[in-house]
Amino acid sequence: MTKGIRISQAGIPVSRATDYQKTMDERWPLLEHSFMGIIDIQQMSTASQGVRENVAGTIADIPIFKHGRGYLPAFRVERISSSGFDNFNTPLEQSMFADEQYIYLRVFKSAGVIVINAKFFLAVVDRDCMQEFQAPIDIITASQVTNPSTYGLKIKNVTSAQGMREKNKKEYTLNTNAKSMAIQMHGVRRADQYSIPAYNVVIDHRLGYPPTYYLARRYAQEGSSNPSLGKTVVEAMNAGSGISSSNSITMLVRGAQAPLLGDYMFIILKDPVDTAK
Amino acid sequence: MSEFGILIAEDGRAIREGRNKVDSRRKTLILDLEALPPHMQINEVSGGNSYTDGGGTGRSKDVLLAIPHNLGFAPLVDAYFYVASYDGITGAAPAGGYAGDFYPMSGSAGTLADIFSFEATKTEILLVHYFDKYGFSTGYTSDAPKYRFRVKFYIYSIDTGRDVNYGYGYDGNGVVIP
Repeated sequence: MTKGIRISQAGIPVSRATDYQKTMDERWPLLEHSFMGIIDIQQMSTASQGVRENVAGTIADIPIFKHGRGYLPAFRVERISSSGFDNFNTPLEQSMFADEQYIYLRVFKSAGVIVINAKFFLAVVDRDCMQEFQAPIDIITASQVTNPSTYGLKIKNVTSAQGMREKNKKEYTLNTNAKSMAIQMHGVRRADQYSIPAYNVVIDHRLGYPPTYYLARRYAQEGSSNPSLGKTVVEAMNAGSGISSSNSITMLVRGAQAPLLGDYMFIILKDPVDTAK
Repeated sequence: MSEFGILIAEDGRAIREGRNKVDSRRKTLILDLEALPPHMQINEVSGGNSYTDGGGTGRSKDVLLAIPHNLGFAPLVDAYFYVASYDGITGAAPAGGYAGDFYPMSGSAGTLADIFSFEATKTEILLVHYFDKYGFSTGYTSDAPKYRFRVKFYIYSIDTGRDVNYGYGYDGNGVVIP
């Protein structure tokens, strides 16, 4: 056994817990976030500082959140409401992209100033997932299931009146009666005609089972009428769709309704899709 | 941000030298292992009814499973739809394929949508089949009953602020849900 801190979920001896049954293990990171919450943008003008418009004034890229990470972040958006702009029947998460400092909302409009509203849930991962990372693999087959207990570790991320009696697990970062998703690997893979199979994202995860994962496209803004022309950006993790398959070593992701083409940032989580214990 | 918690520096560094390996102040995707019914489950269900696009527009919907979560808000959810078998065969495509948020079945080609997905309300999570007609009268008949899905879902203890958190964000006419 190597050195470090290992904490398993309640009721499971740490020596017999699978990787994904660990509340904490120093050898692999949890999927931690620099921001997680609701953003409510009210009455924001496209004449605001930092908004990029094309020459015709028909496309505006509006900086709606400063993440400030210095790298292209993994992020996720869930729309609550929006008004004042047209994005051609596109889900809000598909109208957003991030560069190294900001998350932008792209809107289409007539020439002139418009005022927009947008309210959405946003989660920004606190880790440069464009970099290659692969955690060690320890135990992948569950022999025991979690048995919640009144004893164990609880670490809160906020202070509240309920203290450690708080029932809502969202107030905890670590809790042996809860589960936090952990990272197996992340990085970037290219899908094109040279991929094997062609136009598939191919990831060797070696977990022994089909894994849970996120995927986001990294691309360069193109087109002469593009206000962000030349910028390399990343889309939201929930902006695209794909069909996956996996053996014990390799996962393939292909487009659900159109071929995948380009660079894709991926996060493979420790959790299997076919086991719930 | 709280001043309390656990900080573990990267190997060979102090906790104030750059990004820490562990910082319990950072929020995670967390779910409740004490919850009943469980907030992490696998359920096997068929793909739903076999609808035919005989003209017109709009949605036919099957609720294949409803499970209360007792959170009181529409939670953040990750759901993975794994095709365990197709027409009773486990070794032939599309069996073995899986997708997150929603799974587009074979008829989903722009003229209609034949979708397996979830809806998370403030009280329960629903596994649903949508058959959305866009008015092209294709005559297509859904093969949804041939699909056997193994659905793994995670109901996080995180409020999205939505009234309903949809895995598939379009209504029955192909319009983004407002």
